[in-house]
Amino acid sequence: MNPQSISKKIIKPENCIMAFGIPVSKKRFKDHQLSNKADFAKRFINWSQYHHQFVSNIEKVIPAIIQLGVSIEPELRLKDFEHLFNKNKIDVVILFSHWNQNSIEFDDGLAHIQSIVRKIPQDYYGILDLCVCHPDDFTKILRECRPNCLIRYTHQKATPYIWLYFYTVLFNYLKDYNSTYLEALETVIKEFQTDNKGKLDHES
Amino acid sequence: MKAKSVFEQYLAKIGKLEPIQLGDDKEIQVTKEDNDFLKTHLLGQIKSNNTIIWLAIGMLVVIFLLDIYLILYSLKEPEVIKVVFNGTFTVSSLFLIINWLRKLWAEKSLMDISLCVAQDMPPEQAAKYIASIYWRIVNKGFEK
Repeated sequence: MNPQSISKKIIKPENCIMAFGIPVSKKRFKDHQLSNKADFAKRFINWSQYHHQFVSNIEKVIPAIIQLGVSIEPELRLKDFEHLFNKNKIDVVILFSHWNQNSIEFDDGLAHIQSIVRKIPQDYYGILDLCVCHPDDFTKILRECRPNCLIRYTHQKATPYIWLYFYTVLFNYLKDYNSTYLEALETVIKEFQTDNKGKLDHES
Repeated sequence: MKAKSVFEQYLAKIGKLEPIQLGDDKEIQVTKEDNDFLKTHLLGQIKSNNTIIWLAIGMLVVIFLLDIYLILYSLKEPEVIKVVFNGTFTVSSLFLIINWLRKLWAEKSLMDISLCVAQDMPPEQAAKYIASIYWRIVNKGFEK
């Protein structure tokens, strides 16, 4: 298989895995606020704000996504990242996390882009969907080092709750229609751009 | 809740109500003028809250005096005394009045402390304090 063929393959929700590098529980949020390796949780005043702006949406959306057949990996550690690419029937890995100065956040802290690239197998022919804000440098390196991997990313600011609902619609679309991942993305993004006045922008 | 509304206006003014993004965020600068904005709005609300509290206490005193008068006036009419006691001194009516005053008092305390914060703390620290209280109020009852 090559990037061209994965871009033409019909993708169903069961072929997708969504992994969260940022905390989704109160305990991990508190740990991250105290950790000198983490960053995202420290941008919030307290758990109440984090829960209101992010976790309350997770609690609503994740059960629906799981029901559609998508695999969920909450609070993903860097050392477990590589296992996502070896799972059976998984063609699309969605990393939902926070980007800060050439690093992406995992449950065990911010990881530099070089160490993340090393976790992606050389022979991975699937899609890596990066739901982090403008990881341009990461995608450049990834394209050079893992040319078989098809990358989708956003180069604009990403508001977590908007993206959560975006993926819910995307997975519903994949379930209802026989569509490639890229076609589904294009369609759903167009819908969201109409509703959110162009707030979502992406590249692949 | 009036305090919540004041905090909301203040946090919106300094841009701290916007959802946090997944990428790099630029640090928001809070100034002394923002503290002054908070102080002015809190003072206005404290004034109106104090008026409500005094009115409530005044009403209670008037009801109490009226009850005393009715009791003394109707000492020979137990039925009237029974009605007066049922109307104002029953557990449920007392509970309602005390609960209402407690809420007013709690709000007054919160605004008084917030006023001290706005007057005495550096703008950055004041913003953190107000945001912390605000998100707890907003999320009360929802978080696990």
